[in-house]
Amino acid sequence: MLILRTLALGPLHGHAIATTIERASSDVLQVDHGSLYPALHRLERQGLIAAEWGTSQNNRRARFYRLTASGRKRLHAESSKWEQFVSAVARIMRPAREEE
Amino acid sequence: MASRYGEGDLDDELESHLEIETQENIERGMTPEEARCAARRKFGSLALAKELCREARGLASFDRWRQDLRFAVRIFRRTPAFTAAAILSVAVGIGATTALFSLVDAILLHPLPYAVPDRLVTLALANPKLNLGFDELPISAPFLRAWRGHTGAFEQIAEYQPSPLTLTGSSQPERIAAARASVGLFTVLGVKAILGRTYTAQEDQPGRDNVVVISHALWTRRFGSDQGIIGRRVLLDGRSFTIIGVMPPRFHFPSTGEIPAMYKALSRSDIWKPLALTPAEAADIGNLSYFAVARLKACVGVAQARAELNAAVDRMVRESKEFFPGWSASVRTLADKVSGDVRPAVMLLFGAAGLLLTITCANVANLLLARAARRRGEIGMRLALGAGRLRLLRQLLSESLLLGISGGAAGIAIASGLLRLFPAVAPAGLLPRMDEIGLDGRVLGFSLALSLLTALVFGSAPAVESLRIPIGAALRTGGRTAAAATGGRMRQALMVAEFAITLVLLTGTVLLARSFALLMRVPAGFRTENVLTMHVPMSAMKHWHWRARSLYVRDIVEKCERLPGVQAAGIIDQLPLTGENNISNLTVEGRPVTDMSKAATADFRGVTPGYFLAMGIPLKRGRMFTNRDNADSPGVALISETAARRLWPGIADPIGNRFKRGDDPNEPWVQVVGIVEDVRSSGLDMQPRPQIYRPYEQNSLLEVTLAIRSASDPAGLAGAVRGEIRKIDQDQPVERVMLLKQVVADSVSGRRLQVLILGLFAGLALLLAGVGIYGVVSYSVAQRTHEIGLRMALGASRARILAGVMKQAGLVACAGGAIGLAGAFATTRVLRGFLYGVTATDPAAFTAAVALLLIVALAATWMPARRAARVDPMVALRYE
Repeated sequence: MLILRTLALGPLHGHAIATTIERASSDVLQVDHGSLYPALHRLERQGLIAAEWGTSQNNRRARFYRLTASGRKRLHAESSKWEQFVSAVARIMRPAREEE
Repeated sequence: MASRYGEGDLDDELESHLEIETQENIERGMTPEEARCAARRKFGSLALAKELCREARGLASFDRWRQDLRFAVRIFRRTPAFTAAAILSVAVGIGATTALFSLVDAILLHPLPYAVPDRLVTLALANPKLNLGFDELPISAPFLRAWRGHTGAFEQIAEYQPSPLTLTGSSQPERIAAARASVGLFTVLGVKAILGRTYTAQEDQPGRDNVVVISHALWTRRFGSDQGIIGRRVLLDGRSFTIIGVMPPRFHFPSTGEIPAMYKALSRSDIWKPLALTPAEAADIGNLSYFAVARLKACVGVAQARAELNAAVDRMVRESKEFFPGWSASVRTLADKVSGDVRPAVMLLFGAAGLLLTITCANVANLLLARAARRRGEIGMRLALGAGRLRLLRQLLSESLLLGISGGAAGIAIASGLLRLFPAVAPAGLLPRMDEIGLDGRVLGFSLALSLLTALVFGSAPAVESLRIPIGAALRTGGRTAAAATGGRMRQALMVAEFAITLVLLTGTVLLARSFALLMRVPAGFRTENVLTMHVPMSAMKHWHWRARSLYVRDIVEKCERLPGVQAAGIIDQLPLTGENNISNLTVEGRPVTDMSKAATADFRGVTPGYFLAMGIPLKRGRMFTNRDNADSPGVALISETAARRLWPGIADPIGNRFKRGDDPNEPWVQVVGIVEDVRSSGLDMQPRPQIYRPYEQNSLLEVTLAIRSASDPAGLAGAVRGEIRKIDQDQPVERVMLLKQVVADSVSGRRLQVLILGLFAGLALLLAGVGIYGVVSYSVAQRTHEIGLRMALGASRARILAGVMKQAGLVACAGGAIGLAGAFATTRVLRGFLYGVTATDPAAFTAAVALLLIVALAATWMPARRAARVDPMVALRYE
């Protein structure tokens, strides 16, 4: 889901996805670079993201991934599920804090 | 996805990631080497990532297969001996099975090339009481008329009679297989002329019947595909006929199978002329010489048709004096008539080919197992790196498929070669539908499917083995000791199976070979050395009077006798063992026959006096014919010993007794003047039938065969004899010029072919089994070198090591032999119909087969056993 969210902002190549996630989470989430690519390819096979070759900023040949329509739909579904989960956990956790 | 994502793309993508990371590291202040190292470390295992990516992309990726295949090709190229052995094994199995399948397909599976062929049936008469050795008899014209008029089961019935003709004209006179056929033949079969037309009912009458239709093959061969052929006149048997039509290619009805085996020499018809029965022929109820083919009506079955025909037969037999009870009608589908007789033999050979294929599968499985054991290290490594077992199975499977397909392609080439050789070992007329045999689409499709199936079968062995590899053990020892324990068992089991199947094939071959040998030793009744024979078909136009025939024949014989080197020359209407005969019932003087069903029958022949000398048939009693026994002298006959026993049982010397052919009171009696030895004229495997010989002048027929015995090799005489005949009549064609030995050999050509083919399969099986056990034992010895060295160091002698190895191989062979014996007992029952003089469980044959198997097994293990005995303990103990 993180990959999909990252790509919602625009197409990126594999390395950029990894760095974005790390930066956005203030390095809390360390992305295992090696397992990123299998995940990307799996998403590509499922049709949630599409890819094509392009040139990166430093003029290197890299593969850029972007979100497809079904990918966007999945992101939406997953996000709302995540938010429901988070708010549920928050509701459970909050009463304890109030008592505190 | 516009373009395919390939292996190279994956490399590029991951590499570019590393480069970007490396670049960033450098910007963070690291040295290039540190940067690169840090990037690699952060990434984790590159190989694993690649493997996971490949899996994540799904099995449907075409590149995966391509990669597998490329890998497989690389591996095969590195081990050419192994690859060659495997491909050759597969090729042998697939080649044999494909060749036999093309026979099965053409002879048994293809529908006949006529319109709606499953509605076509053949009609015949049968009478088991006659005990003539064949089940069906031809029909006479009045029966056909009755059947046509009084049965509602058929749309149409057509009759025909094989009637070879001599075509004379511009080039050499040529003897052509032809048929007199009623006008309905073409309609019943549903075939139309491609040029011109077939004849009409008006032309199917005597006097207006000088028209013929010719086959496509004859049109091409003799008339150069002349477009203006219609209307051309030709001379057939001296009579002028007009060609009015040409039939489509490959139409040759009746050909082998469509007419009874009696006319084996005639393998396919090339000319059709109207039947045009004269009133005398049409009324002759006793002249059984016509064959019939009919088309059943749409919803009528064979049983119903037979019932209707039988009703008509019963009526006719009651009304006629000539027939006695016991006659019935015989109806068979045309397909069954054509191929029914050869079906058992063809299926037997097909089954044997299948067994050979199983052996080659086992052999290749063994080879693959051996190789898989060697690759355990590599496989263990891949598994440790995270490659899924499924991935591995796919790799092994693609290797097997590659082997299967290449072996299959080579097998098709082998089958093609075998089929091209086939006409050389199978004389024309032996098998029906021989010109339909070939590698057509269906046969090739079968071959491909079989290749894939066998690839899956033999590929499953190493696949199953690889699934059981414990990774740790494989990596640690490099795979050697573990392999010997587990893989070895499966290989031994496969060898046992191979030996078992080989024994079944061997036993079958030995039984058939013994049958054949016993058959060839049967005394035929005549001596075959140095005898030349040729068929002299006389023209009905030139020799219509019997006196002219007698003079002509006598002239030929006298001229031949005077040739240098000729010891004797004689003439008979048809040679023995050519399947042609002339059977009549007869009446013995003093024993009038009230019930014709009890009347004796015999084979009647017309011969010149020199015949018996030429054929080496000894006279047992009485005297031979002389030139004084002619048309004007009293009727005489020479009879065979069986005839003497049957006609005058209990009488020691029947010379002087009389009989007559048929039971016509006006027919003169014939006196027996001598007894000659029995001749097995119907077949070497059949009891000799009563034979009665009349002097040619008293029984002159148009079809004669010349037999000439010479002092030395008679093949050279052929030209001289032809010359003499041409001097008498230059238009006289001569055909079937062959040595008497060849005539006898042709009569058993079917059996010989069976023995050859089955023997070939058994030989190949034995070879493969021998090579297989050689491989298994060699491998086992190589694996256990360390252990052998240890044993020798501890005091075992070389002889004991050798014996140990041989014993192990011997056990495998014995186990295989035991199972094979059980299998052979079960399956040689199917051979019962093919055997002669031996039972299906002949102990001598079984013993011989087992002995042969053991000898080959032991011989094959001798070399690796010696290698084991020669192991140097010092080297072996150091060897890891």
